[in-house]
Amino acid sequence: MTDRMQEQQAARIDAALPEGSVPPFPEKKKKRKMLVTTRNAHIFCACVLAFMLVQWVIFFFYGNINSILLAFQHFDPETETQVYYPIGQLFTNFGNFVTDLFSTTRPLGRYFLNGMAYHLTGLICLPLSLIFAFVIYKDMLASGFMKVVLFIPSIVSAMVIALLFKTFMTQGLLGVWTNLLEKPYDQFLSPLGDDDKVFLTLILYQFFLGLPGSLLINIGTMSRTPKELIEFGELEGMSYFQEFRYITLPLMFSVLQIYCLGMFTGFFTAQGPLYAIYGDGASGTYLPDSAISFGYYMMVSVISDNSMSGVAADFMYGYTSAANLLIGLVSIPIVYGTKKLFDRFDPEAEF
Amino acid sequence: MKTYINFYEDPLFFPKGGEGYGWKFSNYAAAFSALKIFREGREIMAPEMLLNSLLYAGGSGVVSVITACLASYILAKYSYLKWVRGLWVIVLITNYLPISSSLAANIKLLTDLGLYDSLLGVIFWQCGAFGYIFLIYYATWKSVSWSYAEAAFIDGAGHFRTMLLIMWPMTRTIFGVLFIQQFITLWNDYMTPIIYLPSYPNLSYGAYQFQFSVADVNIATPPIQIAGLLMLALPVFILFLIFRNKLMGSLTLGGLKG
Repeated sequence: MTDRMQEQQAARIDAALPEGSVPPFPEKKKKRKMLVTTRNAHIFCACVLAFMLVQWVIFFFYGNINSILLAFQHFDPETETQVYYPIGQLFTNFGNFVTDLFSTTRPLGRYFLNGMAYHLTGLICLPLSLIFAFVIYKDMLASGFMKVVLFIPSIVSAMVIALLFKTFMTQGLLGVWTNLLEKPYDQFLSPLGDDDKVFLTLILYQFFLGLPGSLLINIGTMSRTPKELIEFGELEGMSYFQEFRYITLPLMFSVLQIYCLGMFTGFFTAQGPLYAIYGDGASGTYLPDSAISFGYYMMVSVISDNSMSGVAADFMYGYTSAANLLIGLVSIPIVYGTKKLFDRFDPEAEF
Repeated sequence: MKTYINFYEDPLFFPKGGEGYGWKFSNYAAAFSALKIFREGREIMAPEMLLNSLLYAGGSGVVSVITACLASYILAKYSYLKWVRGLWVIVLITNYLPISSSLAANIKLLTDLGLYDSLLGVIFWQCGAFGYIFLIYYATWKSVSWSYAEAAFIDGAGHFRTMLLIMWPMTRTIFGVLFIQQFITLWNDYMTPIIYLPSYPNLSYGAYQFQFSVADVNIATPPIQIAGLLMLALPVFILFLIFRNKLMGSLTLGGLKG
């Protein structure tokens, strides 16, 4: 007799008995015994995951809770600790941030747009990086050249590239200006220090840096394309473009989804290459105001005293946490909307 | 490898010959000896920074790949257990919830826990198992057949032994590739040491500070600064050349449907 049949029979007997009377035989215990192998699997999984879960709870879960709480606090110079605002002023940090963001006298709104522009270069680079990866994967013409040009930014530190770029744009261009173009020394102004040119210069630099994309991942995923599929296409006279459009892209859909979701997660807090090139702005490197991004402003306000915000870093903890929380909340519908969109057009290709 | 005069006159082409010109290999030696950071009255030189780089990139790299490998193994192969399947929520939250703890909160948290400015503490903080490496390793585990494990169970092997001696060796290549990739990323990382490990500057931190060391005009010239930056990039470049065939074509990401 199966468990279900036993349950049905017990229910029938219960229904037939008068209320409050004792059943004619003791109720059978319904507790099922777990198989030893399943129990061992539970124990094994729990033991293996214990460290990782503890680490996640401390640094991710508690870290985020801590960040949310910090958004309702301010620095008290007397006790030198972060203390909560009184109940009536709990949302002061949020209010300050929103006021600054939409203020016409403060540049925070412009910083915000700058950061988004830096980040958007990644979105423009994405299709190009896929094409480059495809060219290298198919070993097409100029793939060797692309390997060298694109792999270097993938493996060498962004800071090294940024500083080489900075050296060339300042000292190198000065040499070109005075010696090759024979123009007067005192008329030279590096594009990195020129308020009118710096933003476009940095956008182009960011674009160049973003071109390789995640080249290693892209090539790795493309190389998993089943050979039979490509051979079949070749027999049908399929061109490289058709292979890219009808085989490679659908098979890379899940990877593209991950890229796009990751991109939107950091959409509003992108920094651009500012810290690598200019430092915190207090080290003697002039940073034109037209290039500053919101992410950079937030970061420098927290790690350097009196650099951009004009106050000590401790005073900015609550403000930046509130900004971070608000931005996160605004990002949620964008991220999940993107995910839904991807799920809708998912070609369901598995390989 | 140019003199400063040569760089200034002609920044684009090879060094010229003659008095005050020529190939200056000594720029590299000058850069190495100039690489120093002053911290709380102590001078931290290049060899110590090199050690810090190795400890930080090696330690954090290996721990983060191990944790991701173990976590992804459990989620890929034991998803028939309800609570294990439920842990996917953690993966989704970690990777795609756009609310992340602010920099200020991280600094405060590490300070409160006594982990700020501690190499071990930062390694512990960074070894989260459910991030980007997890997604890559998860895709790998999914492609490894569970039949091998079942055969091992029939022969009497336990779960741990099966994972360590049967399943893990089949993903050794991807483990190595991920470690190298992580090592390269952490070797190049200068932000974490600047913000969270000020007493343990690594070479990237040192090279980053190099651009602001204008006190000695003989050292703070572009050719010497570029030599310093190239020295920093060289180990990573060599590592990439050695393992380029393994690195290319081994990595892929798992999809997140649902």
